[in-house]
Order: sequence, then C-alpha cells, then structure tokens
Amino acid sequence: MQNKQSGNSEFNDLSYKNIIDGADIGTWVWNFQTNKITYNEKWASILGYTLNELKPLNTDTWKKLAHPDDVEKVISSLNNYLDGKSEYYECRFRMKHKEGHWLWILDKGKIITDENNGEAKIMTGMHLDVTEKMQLQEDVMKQTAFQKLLLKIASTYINVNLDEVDSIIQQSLKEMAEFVHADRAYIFSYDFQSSSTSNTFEWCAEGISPEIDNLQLLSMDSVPHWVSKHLRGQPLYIPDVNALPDDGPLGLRAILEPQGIQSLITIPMIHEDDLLGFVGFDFVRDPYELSEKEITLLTLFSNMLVNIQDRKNKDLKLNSFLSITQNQNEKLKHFAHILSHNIRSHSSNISMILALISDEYPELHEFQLIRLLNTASDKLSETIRHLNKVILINTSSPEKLTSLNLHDIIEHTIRTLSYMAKNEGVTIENNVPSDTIVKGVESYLDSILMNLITNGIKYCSDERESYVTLYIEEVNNHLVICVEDNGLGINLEKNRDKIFGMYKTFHEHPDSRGIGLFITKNQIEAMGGKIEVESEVGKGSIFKIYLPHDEYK
Amino acid sequence: MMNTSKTCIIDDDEIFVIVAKKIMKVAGFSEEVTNFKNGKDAIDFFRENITNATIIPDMVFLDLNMPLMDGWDFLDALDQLDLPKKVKVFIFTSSIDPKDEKRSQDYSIVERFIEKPLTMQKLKLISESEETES
Repeated sequence: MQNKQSGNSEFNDLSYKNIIDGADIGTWVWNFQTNKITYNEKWASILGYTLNELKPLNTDTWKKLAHPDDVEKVISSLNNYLDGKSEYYECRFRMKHKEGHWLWILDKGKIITDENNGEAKIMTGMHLDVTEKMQLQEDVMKQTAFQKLLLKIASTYINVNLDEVDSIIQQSLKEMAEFVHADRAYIFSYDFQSSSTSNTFEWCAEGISPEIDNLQLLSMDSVPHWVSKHLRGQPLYIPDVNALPDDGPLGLRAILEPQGIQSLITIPMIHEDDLLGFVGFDFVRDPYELSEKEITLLTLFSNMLVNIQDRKNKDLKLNSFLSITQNQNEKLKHFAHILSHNIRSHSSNISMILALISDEYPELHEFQLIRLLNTASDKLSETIRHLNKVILINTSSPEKLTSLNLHDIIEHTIRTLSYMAKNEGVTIENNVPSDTIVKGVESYLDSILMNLITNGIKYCSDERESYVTLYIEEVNNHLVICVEDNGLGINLEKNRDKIFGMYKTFHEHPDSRGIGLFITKNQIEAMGGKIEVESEVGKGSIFKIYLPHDEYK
Repeated sequence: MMNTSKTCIIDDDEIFVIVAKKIMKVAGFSEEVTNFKNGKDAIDFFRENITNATIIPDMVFLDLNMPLMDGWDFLDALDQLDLPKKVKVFIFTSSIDPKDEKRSQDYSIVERFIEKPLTMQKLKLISESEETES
C-alpha cells in the first residue's frame, strides 16, 4: 500500500479508494509525525456509526469502543510489530456496535517508510467485520464440546447401577444445564390416566429457587402448550418470552413472565410412541438462543433419559419378579416340609395301629381286607419316604461337594450289585480310569450309580449277552460319566419328557416304582450337573451324567 | 423288658399318644406313662414338681412340632430347671430334616433322635440300652 505521492492526502488515487470502499473494509491511517489518525467512513459504519458521531477522532477512539478485556491484546500485538517481532500487525478483538452487541473485528496494519531516509512515516491499517466467521467457529467448537459432554453422559449411563440411576440423572441435568448456561433444568413426567404432570428431577443454578415441591400433580390443563407440542413429538421452544404476543391470562406469556423466565425449551421424552414426560431448561438471567444443532443434541439427551429410565424400570420389574419367584420358592419349600411332616405323622400312626392290631389279634391276619390294609399302609409309607427323599434333595441347603474317586465308587457299587448281576446274567464293566476324580456328594453319587446300574440289570434283554459299561467322556470341559447298556431301551420319541418324571415306568417289572430316575435327576441337579439319555428300543440306552467341570483330573 | 421307670409323652397327636401308650403297655416298657399335649403343659408340670423326684419322669418322649410351646422351646426351658434327678429325653418326630437331628445334639439332655413311627423294635432298643447302662 505504498503511495509514491503521499503528502496531505493519503488517498489521492480515487480508483483505489473506490475499491476499498466497495469491499466493506474500514481503514485507518496513523501519521507518526502528527500522531493523528484518520478513518474512512466505513470504519465507523461497520460499528453502526458515522464518523461524525465518533468525534473527536484520535488514536484513542478505537479504545473507547473496544471490549475492555481485549484492549491489552491489541496493544501488545501492535508493540510486537513495532518492535520488529512480527512482519505486520494483526489482531482479532471485539468492538461494541452502536446497537449494543459485540462485533469481532480483524485489524491488520503495516508501516510505510520514507523512501529517502527510511524513516517510519505512517502506518495504514484496515478493519474487517469477522463476527460471522468467529461465530461459526465458536459454534463448531461449542457443538463439539456439547457432543463430547453427551458422549460422556451416555457412557456413564451405560454401566450405571440401578440404585445410582437417580443421582446420575441429577448429575447429568446439572452438566447439561451448565453447558447451555441454563438457570434451571428439570424433568417432568406425564400421567395421562390422572391427566396430571409432576416434576421428578430439578437442578437450579445458584440463586435460583427450586420449584419442584410446588410442581407436583399439576393438572395437564394448566400447561396446554406443553402437552399439545409434546404430543406431536415436538419441543416447546421459546427463545424470548418478551417477544411473545400478549395472549391473555391463560396464555403462554402469562405463565412464563411471572416466573422471570426469559427463554425456555422443553423436549418430550418418548418411549415407543408413549409420551412419558419432558426435560426442560429455563433461562432466567439472560435469554438464550439455541441453535438448531443444539436443539438436536438436547433431543438426543432426552432420548438418553428415556433409555436409562426404561432400563431402570425393566430392572425393577425383573427384581420384583425375582423376589416373587424366590418368595414362592420359599413358600413351596415350606409347604413341602409341612406336607411331608404331616402326612408322615398320619401314615406312621396308621402303621403303628396296624402293628398293634396284628400283635393283639393275630387271627385278624386271616382276613384279606386286613392284609390289603397292611399292604396299603406299607406302600403309603414307602411313597412318603420317596417323596421325602426328593424334598430333602431339593430343599436342604446344598451339600458340600468333595473330591471323589469315581473309579473306586463304581467298583464299590458293582460289588454291591454283583449278586443281582450274576443272577440276571449281566456283565458290568468299569472302564473309568483309576485316577478319575470328580466333585460331588458321595451319598448322591453312590445312589445315582446304584440306580442307573440297577436299571441296566433290571431291564436287560433276554435276546443277547447283556452288559452295562461305565466310562467317561470329556465334552466342552465337562466330565461326562456314561452308563451304557444293551438292554430293552426306551422309546424316547414318546417318552423324552417323562423319562425323568415321578412315577413313570416304562417296562413291567415287579420292582418298578418309577421313582429312581426322578431321584437320580434331582440328585445330579443338586450337585450342579445334568443328565441326558440316548436310547433306542431293542438296542439299549446310554445315560450321560454331566458334572461340574472345575478341577477334575 | 421290665422297667420300673416313669415315662412322659409330650405330643399333640392324640392317636400317637394312645397307640404309643398301648405299645408301651404291651411291651411292659414303663410302669407309669403320663402325657401332655404341648411343651407348655409339660414344663408347667415340671416346674410345679421340681423338688419331687418321685413324680418327675425318668424318660420323656418329646415331639418337636407342637402348638403353644414346641419341642425346642421345651428343651430350652427344661435346661433352665434344676432337676432333682437324671431325666432322659427321646425325641420322636415325623421331621425328615437332618438339621433337626443335628440341632438335637446340642442338648445334652437329649438321649436319642428317633423317627416316627414308634415300633416294638425301637422300644426294645431303648430299654436294652437302658439296661446295659444301669
């Protein structure tokens, strides 16, 4: 911007001046000799003034209009340049517009030196209004920060414990409110059955009085604007209460103005088409204009609130189901004990009476009915004994599992059953390695093996050499005890559901009670295992006992 | 099976009491058998006759589940008394809970835990062990 004919007028080149005037650029020229400064008309009009209005025009004129916090920054930038530390002068600072708002000004300048002696003569500079650009930058930064905050809140929501949900909602309300500089943040729930709405959460900035206690079970009719907007799934957003039309004593303005609210936004909380309530922010001290993006992010926040409350409700429901189940389970246990105890008392009385009768009147035994009565009484006692066994397995506190040598237990069982096996012509083979250790309850394991092997002997086939073989398998880290026979087999298509049921028998046999497999299953389950069966009629069966897998060799 | 002792049955089950008394009579188990229908009546009797060693029974057949005062409460109350002679308690119960048997072992006065029904066989066992003791 050097001017060869510089003298009284710094801008004697008219076309040059025109370009600058047309480009919305304010200019200033500072003469070091006179310490006078001249501004063009644009310099003033950027700020909403005419040059005339700003008189007297001197080197301090800009200072009067600059933001007090920014003055020092301008001076130090200028000094940096004058001291030769930068190639040109450049500074962004705020200046006050005539209408009261602040503008961001980009100020740039350079010294023009005397060609003859190289002395600094004048400094020229220009002002550009960069408010929009700065605003844009600020918006982007703010949105990024906003998204970060939401992300942070979302991550705290994910792993929150049920009993912390309320305090975490409270905390996030505060964070959101502080971020948008709201003075009050709150959540309301709608109850369409009673047509009322209640304030459930509230956060207030310092000096703002809480209202939550006054805002319980309000009739929905008192806030029609809220309800109708929210029912449509839209936020109710009032950027400036003072700009609202005066719409009567029941109008929106009449509600908000007495509360000193300047701006307000309330966002519906919707879960699967159900309007649950809304989250809202009040701006009391200053009005606040929310960008579209900010409203979107607040809506996201409202969705997060819906989700966390939904999760809490589901958890609560689950817990109550759980406690109902536990309760019922306890009742059933209690019932089973009472039942078994009471039935036992009566049946033992009957057997005592019968014993006494046959003792006192031995001749009565001649009567068939008396004999039948004795048989019935014995069977009743036996049934009750079975029942009690099952009840005990299922209701007593779990027995401690100990390490047991499976091979030895099987050997012992085989010895016990050797007579029976020999009679029926069944070979029993123990193929379990001698160092196999399982975790279990010894008496249960005894009873399980006894029962399964006995079944294999009882239901052997007459058509072939019968065997019962015991071996182990490893399935997905489970130790599986297999009891295989080539006996009669069971039709599983018909009986899969019944095979481990109570009082189910599948073959005619004088000793069939239909209780063995039922007890076996209960005992295995009481040890934390499970039982499966493979069987084919005429070929045989394999019973597989899965035991808890930890620490077996 | 001859015994000159006094036995007391504490049980709310009338049938059990009647039948047990008959079985004891047939077996000649005890010279005198009394009964109370709950622990409360029994402990009151014990308290009233605490100094009278001839009236206090030698053996008590005790049920566990009873109204007013159950078998456990009776045992606790009995524990507080300064008995004039040795009394042996046999628990007779329909309970199948192993916890009950375990709990009965905490009482030194309890001689044995026996499941109902009462049979000649069980009576025989009791009096045999009594005889070997005395």
